[in-house]
Amino acid sequence: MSDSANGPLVAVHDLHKSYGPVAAVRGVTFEVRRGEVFGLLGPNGAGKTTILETVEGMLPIDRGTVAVDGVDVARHPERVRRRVGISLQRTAFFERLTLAELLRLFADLYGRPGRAEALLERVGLRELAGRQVKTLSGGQQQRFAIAVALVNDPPLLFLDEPTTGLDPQARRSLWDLVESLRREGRSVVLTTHYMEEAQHLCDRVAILDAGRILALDTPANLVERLLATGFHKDVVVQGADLEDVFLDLTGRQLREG
Amino acid sequence: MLTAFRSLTLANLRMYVRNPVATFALTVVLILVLGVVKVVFSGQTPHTKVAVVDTARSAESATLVGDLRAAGTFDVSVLASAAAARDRLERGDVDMTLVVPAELGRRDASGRLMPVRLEVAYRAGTAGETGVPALRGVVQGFDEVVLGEVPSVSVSVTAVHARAASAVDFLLPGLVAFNIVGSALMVAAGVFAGYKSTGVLRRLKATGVSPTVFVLSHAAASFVVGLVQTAAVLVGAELLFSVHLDVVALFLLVAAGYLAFLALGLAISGWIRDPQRTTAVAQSVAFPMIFIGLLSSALPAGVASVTRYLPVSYVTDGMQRLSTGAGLPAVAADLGWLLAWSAVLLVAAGRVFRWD
Repeated sequence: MSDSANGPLVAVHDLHKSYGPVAAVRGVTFEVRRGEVFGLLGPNGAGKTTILETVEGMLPIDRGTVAVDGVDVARHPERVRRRVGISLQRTAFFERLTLAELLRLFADLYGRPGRAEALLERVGLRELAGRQVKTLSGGQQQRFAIAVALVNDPPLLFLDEPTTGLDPQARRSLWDLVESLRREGRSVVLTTHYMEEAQHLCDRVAILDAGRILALDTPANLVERLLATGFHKDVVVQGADLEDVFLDLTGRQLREG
Repeated sequence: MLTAFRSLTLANLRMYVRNPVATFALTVVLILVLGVVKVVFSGQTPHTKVAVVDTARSAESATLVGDLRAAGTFDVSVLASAAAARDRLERGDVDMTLVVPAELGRRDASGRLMPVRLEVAYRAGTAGETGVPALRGVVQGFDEVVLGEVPSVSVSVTAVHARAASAVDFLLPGLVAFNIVGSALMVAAGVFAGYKSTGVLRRLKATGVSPTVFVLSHAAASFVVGLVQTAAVLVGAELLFSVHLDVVALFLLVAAGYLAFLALGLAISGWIRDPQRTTAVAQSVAFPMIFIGLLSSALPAGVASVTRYLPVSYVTDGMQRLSTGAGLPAVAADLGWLLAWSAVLLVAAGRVFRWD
């Protein structure tokens, strides 16, 4: 898998995917570079999850090519799935097993045993090792899903809407986790419909609608390009917003209930 | 591969043990049903229906028949010929036949009572069996009191193994078939359906684990649970009824049947995409199976010639053979067929399995 060590980690070319008569993805081309956090943005139904799951090897590709670390996903979906870290949009785990038991199970499934405790520590859930997933808060469940995604020590993680439905504290905590993944040299592809999240986390973003990429660049460049067209906001930009007020009042400390 | 199999099997066993209500509810219910059957049938005094063929037609033989009636545990009917009595015994109209030889009460040239042998036949597993000691008691009393000499009347007893019609013999195969079909097929079908609708399977798919490993590990864990359930039902039946069966052979037969239905359930639930349809399909397979299992001996020959190759038939046919007192060799072929069915269905389950 190191034959393309200097090339892009993910190369998607002219990807098409339909569900029956509905074209979910209509000719998408992009690359993900090594070590970057890449965001797929767009309204519901834009095709974000479909793109993510075809690249992961979870969904078959109708047309076009997808290569992950030089491996053709259409030809070797299992090989790609074993190599990357996956956190699905609706991640569910076996009931009646504890976090530690689940992590050990997944470690055995990937053939990478012995990392359960370290991974729980890594995502700040060590004290909850004996609990079951259903007893966790939304933020804890997302962090646990990322711990499971890290079980095979992947160079690339796919996180599908990791912060949807989380309170601001839990979201910030997840942002910290994603940033620490980048510091370790891992690449992350995530989907979100929170623009401030994309601006905060992503090195580059692709903005999608109706199965097509409308724009692809760094957040700063996208903003600059918009301003160059003569765009200006009607509202006076303040130095803070309501979320800053909320966090100032309630603190940044993580809440779990 | 082996690590994945072992780890998944253990995880499944853990989940079963941590959900004891769901795992063992059906087993408990079946044992309770056996208990109810026991109570209902023990409420009646076990009258033995006996057909007497009196070829002596003497005062002595009339006294013997009177003694039998007076004993209180026999429903006596007097028939003209041994053949008619035998016929009624085989049809299940009576539990026991008693043939009184013509010599009863006659004396030889020296004036001594001629020794006679009463021929008794009973149906195994019926009130006829429990009636034998009572009959011996009546005959002994008759011999001493009425004839008043050195014992001259002996009793020769033979058991007749006809198709069983007693409550336990009729119920046990059906209950066991129900247990096998109900818990193996329906539980296996339900579990994957649940995993599919919650999305558990998609996350497992993401690991790249082979569907065959996943299906086999599930089969292994469920099989262990099934063995425990089966053992519990059989021990319950043994404790409640004096079933004179080869318990080891019975256990092996039921275990092999359980495995076959488990594999069938896994194949169905792995193959059907829509979890809500899984239960419907599993039920439409399970219901005819239970029906065939319960009525195997009553099916018309044409239907039976097809259904006898179904897994459920090997279980019920084997059980009926065991219930007439046969041992392990008599069901070896049934065991072989069930294991063959299991192997084919498990391979198929791995092949047709779909993660989502």
